[in-house]
Amino acid sequence: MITLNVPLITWCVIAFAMAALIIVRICHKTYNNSRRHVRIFEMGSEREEFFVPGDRLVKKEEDIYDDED
Amino acid sequence: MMTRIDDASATSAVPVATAGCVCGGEIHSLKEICLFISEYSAWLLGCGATCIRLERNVMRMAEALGCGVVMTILPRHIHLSVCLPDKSDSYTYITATRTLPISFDINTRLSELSWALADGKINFEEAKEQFESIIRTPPANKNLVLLLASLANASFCRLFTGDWSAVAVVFLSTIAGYYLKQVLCEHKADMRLVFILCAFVSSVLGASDALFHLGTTPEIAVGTSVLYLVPGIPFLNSFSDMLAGHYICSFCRFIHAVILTCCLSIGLCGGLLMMNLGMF
Repeated sequence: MITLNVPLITWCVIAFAMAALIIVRICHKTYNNSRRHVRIFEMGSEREEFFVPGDRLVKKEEDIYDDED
Repeated sequence: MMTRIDDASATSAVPVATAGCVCGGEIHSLKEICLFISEYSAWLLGCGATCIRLERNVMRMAEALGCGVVMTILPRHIHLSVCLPDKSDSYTYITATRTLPISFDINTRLSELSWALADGKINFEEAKEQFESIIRTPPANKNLVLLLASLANASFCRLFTGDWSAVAVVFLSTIAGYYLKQVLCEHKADMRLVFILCAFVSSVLGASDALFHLGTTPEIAVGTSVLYLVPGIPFLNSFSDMLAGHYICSFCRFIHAVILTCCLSIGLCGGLLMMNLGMF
């Protein structure tokens, strides 16, 4: 009985170990990428807040919208 | 490093390799040329080129640079001497070959660089810049390589008359084994251990066809599930080096390939044993 189950147990151990390895690494990578790129809070310029697609692109040094009025 | 021996009457010390070679209207010292060609050789041999390819490329570049080259290619080192055409001065350097994964991209681009220099399209300084950019080439996308290797192995299964369930099993077992190989290589594991483990994992998963009675060709699925580990390039390079008369390099590459094949066989046998599958 034990001899008959050895192949199945071996297959299950290897298959689940590989699946776990792949899933854990993918989750770890996804978590690292999300932590690096997506920020819930961040300091932005005034221009970023009020930029409408189609607006004229200006260079950083001539960011006229951040001037004090 | 070889030094020039002047006559005893000389009072001041003569700097080593003061004479140079003319390329593109500019004079370059033998030392500069020797160091560049040594680095080039170390990278070209490390990325999987054969000895005959290395010799041809180096001779081509040396001719373009107006100097002579003699080299000894050893499995782990390259011994290179560059001399002036009249043999009045020479410079020798021994460099260790780079340990890199086989890269046809770098191999091809380094060969193109030698042709560009030989054809006069670039001068020595531009060649050095291009060389620096080539050796910084990032490796191919790992996920793409994983997918393509798995597809290739599954195609082998089909070529060996495996049915579609066997093809699917081989595809999945190759994905698992190759992924494990990438992970272990990232952690700098010993290559022999990597081969044993990957062959074991792939053969166990490749036996799914037999274990669950999925198709009619389970033996082909098991047999082809480890084909991606066969060290084909070291075997081919070994044969090429033997034909070119580089017997030491040929023998070393052959032994390296045989060791990897033995590791593959150990993993495969372990897998077959655990899955209760007969081999003979």
